[in-house]
Amino acid sequence: MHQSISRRSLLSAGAGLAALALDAGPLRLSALASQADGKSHLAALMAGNARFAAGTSHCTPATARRAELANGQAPFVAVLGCSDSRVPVETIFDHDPGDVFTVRVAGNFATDTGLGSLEYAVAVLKTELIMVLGHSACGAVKAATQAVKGETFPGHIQALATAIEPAAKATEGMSGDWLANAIAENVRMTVKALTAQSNILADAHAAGTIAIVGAFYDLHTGKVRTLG
Amino acid sequence: MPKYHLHDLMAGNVRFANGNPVAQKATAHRAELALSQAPYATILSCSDSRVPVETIFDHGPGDIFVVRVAGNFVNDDGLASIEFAVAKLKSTLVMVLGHTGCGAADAAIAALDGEVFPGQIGRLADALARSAEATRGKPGDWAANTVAENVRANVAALSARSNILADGVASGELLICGAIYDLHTGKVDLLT
Repeated sequence: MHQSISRRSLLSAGAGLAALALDAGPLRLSALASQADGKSHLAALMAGNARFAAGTSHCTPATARRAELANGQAPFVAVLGCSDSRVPVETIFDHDPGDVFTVRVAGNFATDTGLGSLEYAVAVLKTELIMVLGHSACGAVKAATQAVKGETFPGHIQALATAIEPAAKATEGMSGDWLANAIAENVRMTVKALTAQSNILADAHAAGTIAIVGAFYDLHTGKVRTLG
Repeated sequence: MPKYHLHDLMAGNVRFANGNPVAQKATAHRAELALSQAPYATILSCSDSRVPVETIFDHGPGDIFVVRVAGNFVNDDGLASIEFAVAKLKSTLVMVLGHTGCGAADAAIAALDGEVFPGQIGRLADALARSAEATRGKPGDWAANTVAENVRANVAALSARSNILADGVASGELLICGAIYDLHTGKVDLLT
């Protein structure tokens, strides 16, 4: 378990909603929350990924904190990741139930309700770090590159390709691998979209109560690296 | 085959709930998985940090395609993701997973009582409003009833809103089910 959890009392669901009602105006600057916290949270997350990549995961997703967590959650990080079965967020960061608030959609882009979920994490649960996590060989981003070439997809799948198309277009013809470049660009664009499309996230970021980072998971090595 | 897969999934939850997980989390299949994925199950679940899907089903990387949004409801992007899993990756089981103590269900109930939420959080309450309204005044706990109704409504929405999923169910290749995760016991119960 990440140590920052113990510094904060767990919010009950009811208390969380009450706090939300009180916080309906501009977000208050918490005495504890700072970008320094965001950095230490990021370090904890990346250390967990190093354990996973090395095959030395040590989290015990069993019964230890179940009773305590049933009363409330206080996740230190919210991750917007891909639905891909090879990127189970809590597993690749070697973290326990209660640690990571997770939004997942194929292509890890910002949707209206995904944004609402992240806003809930920040405004109600007081999460201090948001990570947008892309990964190598992403099928949704690949579909976006194919859509740029004119391919169409059945059902609602076309909407995924369309949503990610700007990242595919922006990287077409660049040096290196188009798919890898589009995946990284999609993460960068999504990081920007979070504050551009959400006043709650933009205000918290400006006040220094949250940090937002982009990152990339390599399916071959199991390693996550942050994107500049 | 879809029913066998459901049994496999539920057996993993029993291991988790009993504190005996065996899932291979590390490097075993990494090289093989880097080339492709073939998740047998797809789960639409909540963003709640206490419901890490792969952990509570004691499954490893590559097993489960996962869509998560606060309140585990169907939106266009989630539906597209699930269609991708079924049409492209050949997932044969789709589960909508709700959980006890869901903040989105609490928000939907509070919204019916007039509470207004900032930013886009209100969209979450809106998405569950019909389930909260449908269970108002019913015997038992309103929040728990809302959670269950929301799962049932979204199980129905999947095939109602998607030809790809409806066709899979009709041909018997796809099983869609609903379930509730209990934060206290760690157990998943199927909704019938």
